Amino acid sequence: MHCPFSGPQLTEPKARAQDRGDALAHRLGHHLGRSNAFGPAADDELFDGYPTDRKVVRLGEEPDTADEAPEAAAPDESVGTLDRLFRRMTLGSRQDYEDQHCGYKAEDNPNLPAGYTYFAQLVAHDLVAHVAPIAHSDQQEVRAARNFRTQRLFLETIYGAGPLVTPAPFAAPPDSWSYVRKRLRLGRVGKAETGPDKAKWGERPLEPGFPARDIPRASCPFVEEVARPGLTDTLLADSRNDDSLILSQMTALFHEFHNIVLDATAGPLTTRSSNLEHYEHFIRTRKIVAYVFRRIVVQDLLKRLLDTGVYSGLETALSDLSRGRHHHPLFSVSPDEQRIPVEFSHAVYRFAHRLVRPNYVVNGIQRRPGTIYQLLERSSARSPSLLPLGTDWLVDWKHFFEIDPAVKPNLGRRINPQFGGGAMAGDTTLVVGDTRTGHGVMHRDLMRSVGCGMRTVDSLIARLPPSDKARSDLLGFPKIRKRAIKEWLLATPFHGFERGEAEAIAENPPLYFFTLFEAAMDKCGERLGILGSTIVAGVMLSALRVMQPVVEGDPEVAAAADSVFAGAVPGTLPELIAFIAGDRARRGEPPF
Amino acid sequence: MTEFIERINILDRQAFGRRVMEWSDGRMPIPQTLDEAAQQLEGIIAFPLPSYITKLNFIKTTKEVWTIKIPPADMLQDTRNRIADPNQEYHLDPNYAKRVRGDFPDDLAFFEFRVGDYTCSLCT
Repeated sequence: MHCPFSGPQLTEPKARAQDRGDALAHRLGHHLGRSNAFGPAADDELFDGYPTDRKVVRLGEEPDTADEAPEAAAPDESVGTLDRLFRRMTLGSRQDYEDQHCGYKAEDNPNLPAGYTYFAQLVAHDLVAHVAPIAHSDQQEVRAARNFRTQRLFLETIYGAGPLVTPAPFAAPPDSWSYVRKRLRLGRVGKAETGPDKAKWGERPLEPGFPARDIPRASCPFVEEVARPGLTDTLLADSRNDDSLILSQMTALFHEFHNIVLDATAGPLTTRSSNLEHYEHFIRTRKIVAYVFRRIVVQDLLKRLLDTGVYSGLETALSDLSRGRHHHPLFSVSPDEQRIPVEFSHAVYRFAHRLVRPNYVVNGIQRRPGTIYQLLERSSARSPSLLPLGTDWLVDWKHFFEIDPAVKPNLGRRINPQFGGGAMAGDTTLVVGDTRTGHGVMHRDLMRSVGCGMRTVDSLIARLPPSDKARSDLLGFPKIRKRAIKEWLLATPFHGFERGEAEAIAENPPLYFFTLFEAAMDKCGERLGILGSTIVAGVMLSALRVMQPVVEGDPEVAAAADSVFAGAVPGTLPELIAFIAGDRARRGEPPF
Repeated sequence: MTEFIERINILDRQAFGRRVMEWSDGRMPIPQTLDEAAQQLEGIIAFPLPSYITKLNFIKTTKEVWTIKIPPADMLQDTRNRIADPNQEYHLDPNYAKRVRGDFPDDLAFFEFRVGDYTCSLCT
């Protein structure tokens, strides 16, 4: 079977690939793919592309041989089935505007204020850290693909391997008695970019006396490379957390939160206390911070994201876990499973890119909403000359969460497959897109979701509990599912599909596409559908189990948290932000 | 208090530029109606458009024709009014500042942005 959308290795006949023993699907399956939430996959349960007699190459790719060149093809005919599906996803349709399915017209998602988009990204960074770009399937390093996160959902993305191994995010102790670093660094901010007291063009001086509210950044004068203006480096355990202004501000929030808890739990410690005592203080603090983080993941983020029935099952599973029972019929993830299934990392959880807005009200200072481009470029990697961050770009969280009844926060986008042609679909500069194809990160999401030993949607649905399938016509009735997908694909005259392509996609949709489609059809785009929810819940449950014995399973952690928060342990992001704002007020700092 | 004319909300000028290029070279058919335009501009332009817009006019030209698009007088005056109002601003897309800073890494991307900016803003 010829696979029109993949590199040479993926186009090999499966039998030959198996003979070689290292074909991509099998190779990655060994590392990632076979460890999915539904048990081992048979070969016919893996996505294998679409049959075609055509000789097709992808846009921007040179054909390997003259035989593969399209014959006098018009531009449209030089793209493959998946490229045409992607183009369909960048279009609206009459059907969308006529509001046939869910009764909504607006793109805004009332269930997900925009801050959750970036908290979901922070959570992703705490679940997965690997270096191999699986989209580039012919690269040697893919053979070594693995997930370097071992203590998942224990905030390794903030703490790294701790102050001894990952000292950069930790402040040096103020004296020489102890060498244990336990306070997380915060970055000072610069003068406003606009307004009467703005900095001169090209200069980014600090704002004297303003509290440190950014992530820690630096520009080292003692290294060899040519100096660039601004702050080129982050002092973070995970520099991915500087991916955008909102994520870096959220990371700074967790640094500050850690320091508040650190001060609240110092007890009788002094600068003369032993290094061991200081290190134990750090560990106690980290556990309390992780305890709160994990509560927020479950009680706030997942409660909003997941289908309510699946969420209820997750709650039961977690309750069982607290009593030492490591099983729940909804999820078959092995308790000791350390890996992340590709169905999660390379398909379902990519739904979060759909939540990204084209612009955001950042605070009450900026005169107009900041575009996603402006938010992405305020990072050390992209535009260090814009740093230190101006005070007029500090995030006011009441614009991102339901905190102030008088302020309507930015809302995330609804989860649906018509994501339009904006930055996430088409920009190849700010996001890591594919410059060869001229497409952005969502194109990469779609392509990656079919090229790494991914299960088919049908095979995943087949493993759902019958009671769940009975709750959704889309899942319970294959004919309805396929007809609905086909209708949507063809709902605009500009779809560009060739004969039979819409049917082929409807018969065997990529999981990434189906995740968005299911959410749109069954949940009005406000949350994930049952299949997407089940995969996310399974992975989260598996991750939570890893450190459960030393966090929720340790009664001293819960008792210490009760003490720090006077019995009102934050369980939502608004509660956490309110707690931090209260502490700022106590310190005499502005709340935001 | 001066009332200003509501403008088309362009969510992504660079993406709009890419779409214009597709209309130019035939990769995408030129919309014939506002509804068709809405379908092709999902996520690029905010819909619904201002209510005063009721028609669509594409001008596809060639290099042999010197095409000078005359902007509407009321829109020009509206921009003058905005500039005169201390509570308003003459907004330039931040991509221009980014270009001046040298932070726009890709000439092609900047070209796409300029095509988008010049094509749909009525020079106002």
